[in-house]
Amino acid sequence: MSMKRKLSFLLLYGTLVLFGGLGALLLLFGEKAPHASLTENRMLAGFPQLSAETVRDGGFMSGLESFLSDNMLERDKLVQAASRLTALFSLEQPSEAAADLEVFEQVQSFAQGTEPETVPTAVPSSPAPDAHTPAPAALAPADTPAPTDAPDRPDETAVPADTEAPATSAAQAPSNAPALTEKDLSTVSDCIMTCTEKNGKQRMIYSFPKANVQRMIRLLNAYRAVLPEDGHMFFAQPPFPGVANYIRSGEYISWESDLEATINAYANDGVYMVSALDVLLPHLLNKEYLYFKTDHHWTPRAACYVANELLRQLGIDPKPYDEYSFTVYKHFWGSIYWNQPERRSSMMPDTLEVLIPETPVKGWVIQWDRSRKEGPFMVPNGQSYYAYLGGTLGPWRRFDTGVDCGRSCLVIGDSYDCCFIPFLAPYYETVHATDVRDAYYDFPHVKWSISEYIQENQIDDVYFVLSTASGVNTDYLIGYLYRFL
Amino acid sequence: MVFSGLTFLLLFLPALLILYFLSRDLRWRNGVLVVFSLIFYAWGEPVMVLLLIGTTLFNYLIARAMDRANSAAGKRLCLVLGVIGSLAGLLYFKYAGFFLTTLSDLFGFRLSFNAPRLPIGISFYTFQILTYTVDVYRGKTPVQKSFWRLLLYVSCFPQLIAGPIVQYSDVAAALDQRSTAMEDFTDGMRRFLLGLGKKVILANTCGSFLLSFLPAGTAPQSVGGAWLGGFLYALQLYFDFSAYSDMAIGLGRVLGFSYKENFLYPYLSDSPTAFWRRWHISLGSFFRDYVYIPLGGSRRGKGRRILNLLIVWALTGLWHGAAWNFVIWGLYWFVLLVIDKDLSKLWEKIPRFLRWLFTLVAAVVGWVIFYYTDLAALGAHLSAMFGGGLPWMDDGALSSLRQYALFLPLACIGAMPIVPRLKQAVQKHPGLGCLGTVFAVAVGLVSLLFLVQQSYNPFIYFRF
Repeated sequence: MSMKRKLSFLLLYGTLVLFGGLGALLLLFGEKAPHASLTENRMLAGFPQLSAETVRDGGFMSGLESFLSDNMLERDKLVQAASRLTALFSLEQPSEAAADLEVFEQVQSFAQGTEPETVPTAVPSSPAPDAHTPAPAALAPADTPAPTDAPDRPDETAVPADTEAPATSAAQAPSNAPALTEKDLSTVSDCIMTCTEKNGKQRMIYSFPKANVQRMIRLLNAYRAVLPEDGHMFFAQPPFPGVANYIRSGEYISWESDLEATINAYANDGVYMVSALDVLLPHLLNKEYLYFKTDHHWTPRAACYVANELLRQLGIDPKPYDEYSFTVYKHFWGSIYWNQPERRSSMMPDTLEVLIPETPVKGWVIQWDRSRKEGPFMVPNGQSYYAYLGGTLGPWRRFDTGVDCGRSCLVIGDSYDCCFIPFLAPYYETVHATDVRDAYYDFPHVKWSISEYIQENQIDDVYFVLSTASGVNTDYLIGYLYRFL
Repeated sequence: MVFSGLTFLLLFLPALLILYFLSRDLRWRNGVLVVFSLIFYAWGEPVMVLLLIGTTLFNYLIARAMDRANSAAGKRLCLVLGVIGSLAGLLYFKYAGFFLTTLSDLFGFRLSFNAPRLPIGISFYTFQILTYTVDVYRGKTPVQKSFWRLLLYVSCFPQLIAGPIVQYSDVAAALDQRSTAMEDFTDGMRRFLLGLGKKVILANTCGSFLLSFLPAGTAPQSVGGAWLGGFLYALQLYFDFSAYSDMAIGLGRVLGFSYKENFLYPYLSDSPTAFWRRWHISLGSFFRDYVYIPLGGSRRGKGRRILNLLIVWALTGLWHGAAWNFVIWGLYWFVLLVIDKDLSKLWEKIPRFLRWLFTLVAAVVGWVIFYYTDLAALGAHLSAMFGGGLPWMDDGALSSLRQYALFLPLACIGAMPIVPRLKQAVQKHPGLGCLGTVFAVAVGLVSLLFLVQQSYNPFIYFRF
């Protein structure tokens, strides 16, 4: 037998082994519960329910196919690679690249237009709030009764409740974390987020294991502890658009979560988690435009609703969204459009409302060596989500808002914070931001802890603004934010 | 279950091949294959798998009775019963609704008949089992004494759902004795992976391209859009169906079966007759051997030949679907084939390029008829193709053309015999070693990449 034939056999045999091994791995270790994909703006399938009914109606078979596809190893990278391959067929690439390039060039021109200068290590601030910033109102009362029971589990859920806790190797308490006095967290229970379908059936969307909720509370307490006495630690976890769009379309009529109540009950004074679900639900039911159709982010309108709810906790009466001025772009094509060409035929362009700042906001990008370059705030471009803050730049952002109120805040988030920050700007003298997901937070490069940054810049309030995809169950919150504190 | 699904590729196929090749004895191998084939079918038709088994059992018993019958009349009676019994399921599930609706439209009465859902592959396996019963009647093949082997012939998963239509006599010997040499395994797997790529990369992209400017239920907005739509559907149909045949033939070879070719680059044909010798060859062979020739073929004069052709093409149209557009499509080809045969001497005097162009255009027009079950929409599309007061090109088609501009040449190349020629070239250079296998594996892996991105992507011919 020739060597060529043997090699051919081995190659094909190896391919079959690869296919079979992959299938076995997915069956054994694939995530059994549905989970969100930020890349694709939808819920990925969990393992289908096996019953006589689901076999008879084909639900198990189609569910298994979805499970295998949705839980493929490195799925995001594979999907992007397939999209890039498909894009090779297109002559439209240059125009797509041009759209992005144009925005990037504007961002770069902001970033490179100014010579580096050194940030003062301590920015003096007026200790007394002026007329623009009334004294903070009381937050969630400390004596809010702790929930005695976890809410009833839905009778029939698509998701097993035993979602595994993520790896916690990074979730060590920081060496410089101050000693904390905390409430007894031993009675904290698992939390869940559910949706109610139009037929009344409840479907679990996320589960938050007790251990993660406890870590989350400790993290919020730890951040609160490095803030001044009148400072606040706010947390918003906006729901993922796939779920929200189900509500907007009428498939789901409601959603519920006990996470926020649990956190607010057990966390220390000055910590408050807003229920973004509760804030957005009436607007979604009202068919308002809270999530883009062609992009995986929320709209500025949704961000404004949540920002305003948090500002109300400070006793501020924030300006309603419709009273702001915007430049409206009617033909915005977002990330889903560009990444999934096969879905383009069914898409209609989005409308992007780019905020027109009321004061001359000056943006900065600050490096680890404390040098800073000018950075964008609002980019007058309707072709990309980068219109808001120029996207994620870092490691630190600073916005001098031109508002003379003496208070500063730091927003720690994922890309959802880009739409959120502009609505804080009218109420803070400086707004700082960071997104620790990105590469510039590789450990060897980190030279400034978040607590040092907070102290040097005399930050009063900290906001965590993270979509559910980067939220409580992820290393981002319960791992990195501990490490970098 | 579909070949181009992750359940098949990652779970079913590896599990089947492990168990199949671990079984040394042919009886065990047949057993493994029957069980997996029934699972394969039941995956898509958990209830209708009983119909498949029932139809096979019925024909098994009929053939056994035929074998035992002492008189020609008895054998003929068994044949008639077998044919009627086999076709009954097909007639009920596929045509009852169509005929009743047509009758009610003709005679103006109202009836409430909920047409049942068409079981997947019923047209294919009904014809396959008929070849067995008829061949036993003709004495062309001995009766199969083992029900399980007959069930294996009918249900054998590579060709079960969308062909090729394998005649019993072609595989009767392999049911009793077969083996898989290393060459069979490598050639079969290569063929399978290339077929997978043809389906996932070429056919599905053609479908996306078509839908990007001509979504279902919409009419073309320009002459160019209408022709582009027809051309793309022609390519999609070819890639989709021939890919399934490639995968079936490849898997058959891995399992020790030798299935005949079903497609031979039909869009290179230079006459309608040549086209149908290259397109869905197994269906053409079935109608030739089991309808056209028994009706007398061309031996009973010109008039009878034309009548036989008319019957064959009306049936061919109806076989593809219970709707009037399929009947029109069959008659369209009947007219073209009659003209082709009668004017063949004149036809050959035309330059080959023009003959090829005419055949290609005729095929595209044929596929447009095939595409629309709604006759009004069909009329609108055909009208658009030939003017219809529309502009030459519309923005939607142009935009899609830009979006898929580089795919179109690739698809055209894919419809030509490039792979066999490359294979020949590689074989002439031993230094190139197993380049063909490397290419097939690469195509398989890229297909897997596409499948992770794509959702359910069934084959078009499943509905026939």
